[in-house]
Amino acid sequence: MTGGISIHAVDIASGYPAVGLVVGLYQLHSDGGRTALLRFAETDRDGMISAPNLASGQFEALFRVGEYYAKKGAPDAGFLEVVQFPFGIDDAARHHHLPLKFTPYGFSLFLTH
Amino acid sequence: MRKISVEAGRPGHGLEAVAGGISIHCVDLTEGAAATGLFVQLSDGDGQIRAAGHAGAKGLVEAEGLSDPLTDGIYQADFHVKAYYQARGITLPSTPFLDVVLYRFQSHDSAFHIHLPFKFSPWGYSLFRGN
Repeated sequence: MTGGISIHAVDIASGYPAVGLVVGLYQLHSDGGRTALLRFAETDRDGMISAPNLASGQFEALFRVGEYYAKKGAPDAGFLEVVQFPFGIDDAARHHHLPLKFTPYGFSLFLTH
Repeated sequence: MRKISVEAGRPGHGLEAVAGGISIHCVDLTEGAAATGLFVQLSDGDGQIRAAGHAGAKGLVEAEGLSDPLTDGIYQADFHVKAYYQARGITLPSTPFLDVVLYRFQSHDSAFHIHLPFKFSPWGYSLFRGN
């Protein structure tokens, strides 16, 4: 795969892929504008979501973690709401895979293929 | 053995549980060691800076006001990852993957101590609430 961004979300409080997690993915521009690569789409039944991208620059992923747990009927942890992950892409030809692991109280996210 | 006596003797800067406030522990996973020198800033929901400082010898952030009890509301911790690696002479891409990363959370119990262990490399990080 050339270029592009994919995100795999796992709800590690349950140990299952996070189905229906609402994700926003944006390219940020130096003038303050932003282009939506994904405008609040939901992860699929495998916890995956992806968007084509062939640009380098600044990006931001938003994850509606608080809403995800509210939809599942979990008690309100009152801690994380929208997780913001700003990141840069230097080599636009490289596929950027971002595995997100989260609970109501935290998350991890790193770059891989 | 690193010298720990100064930090350990200061309220809110040891690893012991303390009432209220925040402690932040930073570990550089590329070194497997405390991220001494990492700059961290804590702001409230209005963007007002509440505390700012660097991680010390043990990786604990040393900042006046950090251990003060939190009023209810939204807080944001900013971690200056790019500047940390640049200061260490680590070569990053011209557009680094991580620059300033942030962790936005709510506090609704001023007596609850929030411990934030921040593990990071130039390519990712994890952050979960502890106590």
